[in-house]
Amino acid sequence: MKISKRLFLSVVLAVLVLVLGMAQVAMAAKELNVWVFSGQEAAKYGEALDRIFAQFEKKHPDFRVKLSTTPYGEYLDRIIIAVRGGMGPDIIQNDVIWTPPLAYQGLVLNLDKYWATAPFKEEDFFEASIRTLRWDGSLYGVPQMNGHWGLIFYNKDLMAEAGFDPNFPPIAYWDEFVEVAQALTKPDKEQYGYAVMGAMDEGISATWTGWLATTGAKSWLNEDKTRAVVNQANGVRAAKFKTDLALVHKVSPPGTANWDQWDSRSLFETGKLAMYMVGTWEIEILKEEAPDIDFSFTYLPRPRDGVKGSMYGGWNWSINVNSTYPDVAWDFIEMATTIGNQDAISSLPPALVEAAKRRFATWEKGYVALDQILGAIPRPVHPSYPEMSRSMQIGIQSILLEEKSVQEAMDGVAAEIDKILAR
Amino acid sequence: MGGILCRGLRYRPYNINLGPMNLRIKDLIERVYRRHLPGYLFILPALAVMSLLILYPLYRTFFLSLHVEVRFNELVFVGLQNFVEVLTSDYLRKVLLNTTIWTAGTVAFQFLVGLGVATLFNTKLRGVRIVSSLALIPWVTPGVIAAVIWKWMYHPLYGVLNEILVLLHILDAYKPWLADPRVALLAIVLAAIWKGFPFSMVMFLAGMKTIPQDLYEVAEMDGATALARFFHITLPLLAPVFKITILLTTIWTFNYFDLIYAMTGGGPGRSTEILATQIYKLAFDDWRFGVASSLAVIMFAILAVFTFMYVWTLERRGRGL
Repeated sequence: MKISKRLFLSVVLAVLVLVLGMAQVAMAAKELNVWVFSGQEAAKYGEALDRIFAQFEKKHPDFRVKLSTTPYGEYLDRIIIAVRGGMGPDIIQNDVIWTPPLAYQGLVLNLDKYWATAPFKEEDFFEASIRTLRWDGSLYGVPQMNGHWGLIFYNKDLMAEAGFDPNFPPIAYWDEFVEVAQALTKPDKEQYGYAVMGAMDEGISATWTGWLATTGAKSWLNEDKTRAVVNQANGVRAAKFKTDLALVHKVSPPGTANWDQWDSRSLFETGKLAMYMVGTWEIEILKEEAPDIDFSFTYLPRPRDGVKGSMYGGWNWSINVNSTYPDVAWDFIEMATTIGNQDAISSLPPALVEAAKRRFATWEKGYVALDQILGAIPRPVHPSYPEMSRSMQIGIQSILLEEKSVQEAMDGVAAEIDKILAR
Repeated sequence: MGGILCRGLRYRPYNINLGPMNLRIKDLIERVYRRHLPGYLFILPALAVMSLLILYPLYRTFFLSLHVEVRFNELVFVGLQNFVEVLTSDYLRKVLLNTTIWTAGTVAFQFLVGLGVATLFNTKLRGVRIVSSLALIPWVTPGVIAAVIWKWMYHPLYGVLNEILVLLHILDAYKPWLADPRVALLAIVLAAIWKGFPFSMVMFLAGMKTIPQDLYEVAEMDGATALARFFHITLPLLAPVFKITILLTTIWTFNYFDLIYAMTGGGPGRSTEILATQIYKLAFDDWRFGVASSLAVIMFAILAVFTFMYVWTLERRGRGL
């Protein structure tokens, strides 16, 4: 009995020591918190992320990396609430349209001093990506990946049925595109040629900017960002082309004023939509959700006097102004921003030009995606961009609802944006 | 009290002449301390939580409404400038009108449908309990899920609602309900009625169970029809339940955000924009917390005035809540 009691006490003591020891270790390890949006944590990137975490933790043995994901719809709210509350992660993966307001509000760090000694330079990234993180002459992030709205996804079977080349359909120019879309529109079979996005969300601004880019225009604003130019010739052309597809050429499904990118994807996956505009993220999604649909993608159609272009979108890494370990956070970003690592962990094409080229080299039409990023223009890099976008959404909807003419609507949008800029 | 005036100087300041009771303040304080302090201590934690969750946010909202945030934590006092901007904006009239239609329509029909269903369920038939439990499903469904369900039901190509209406020859062709600014708000009101009627139903059913059955028996013996019994017994005796239910559903509907934001985002063309969605966009899309707060203060004032007028009117008629 005595031996049993001694043994029992020894075991209890040993367990206590072990638990306390583990607690000590856990308490001793500092955390580097990284927030990303849900599209990033797909299982296929887990291995690469783990490898980078291990690499980082080897260099900083007293740190553990903690990754947290949030669906896109709630992500900005989460960032605002946390950072304004004095908390939040060390590293924030943020949409390129959020970087300027975060920078302007002083919620993310000015990274100029880090860029000065970084192993990468601005010219290593796509030009549009650098534009999105420069505010007031300083850099507030590091580009991670591109999500440009600049590809027309199309159903190869529907193209072939209509007598068009399914690999290279004749939709390089606006007029051809309209003809093909009309040929593919059969309302009695509930089949439509092209889905115009008219729902009250960022899709309107993104797709309008894509059409704007093909006219050769470079921005919504003039050079010194004091005035909107959306109501000038190219802006009006882009708006007219977009809305005419629904109103005049009638190639879009009914309910355009509440039609978003998810509606377009759903209809495309049923084989009832021939074409829609979206970005490279759609490739993996369509392969997974609609393996029976034989699809491909091509350039955004342009006017006969236009250029190959698209709207630049994507994601940047930034450092939370509340971070206790900004130098360590920068170390992590540097590690994640090598050609190999960025290619390995980015669910979208990487922002480093060489990493993107490496990615696109494995695609059947990778050169299309590369050309489109090279010709991409960002939306206004301005802290009040969300307000400008809403003005654009209301303006385009007023055209789709036939409440205003194209020029009237775009004049209204320009006036609203000018008011915002003058504030 | 006259005694005090005449003899005030003869009394020490802490003495109060309360007539027959003639208590001294010191005794009064001791009585309060002994009898009431423990009670106040018990409710102190709840008061503290309420202050944190209600009073501080209220104060902070009022405070922000009088400031412009130049940058994070850099607030500039601007007085009523934010209010002026909101009151002279081109969206306010439309937003207020939409909010009124949304609230009045939803509350009225939740009331009617809830009353109708409660009347149906107010029987002793077998299985009615199970059915009435199932009727709670819309109420417990999260708002965003309900929005997705209804959005699909209203789908311009595949919506089941369109299918039924075409089959019944009420429509010739499918209608894009949520893309038509003339009907989009009414379409969402329908979804809100489905979502919220169970609460009214539960309240009214509970109230009906408390009505003495002999009132109905006596009325029946006197020759009253079922309709007469409903209008002259059921409705009057349910009046207190109606009042509180209408008040609560009005407040909740006025503040409700999920359905509209998820179904239309306030579009098309602001036809479904209400105060709650506009405030959200000003704050979390535009980052204009001062202006958003001023609109929130206006919203709070409207609701406070409504609640006060509602309760006051009922009190005046001698039939409080």
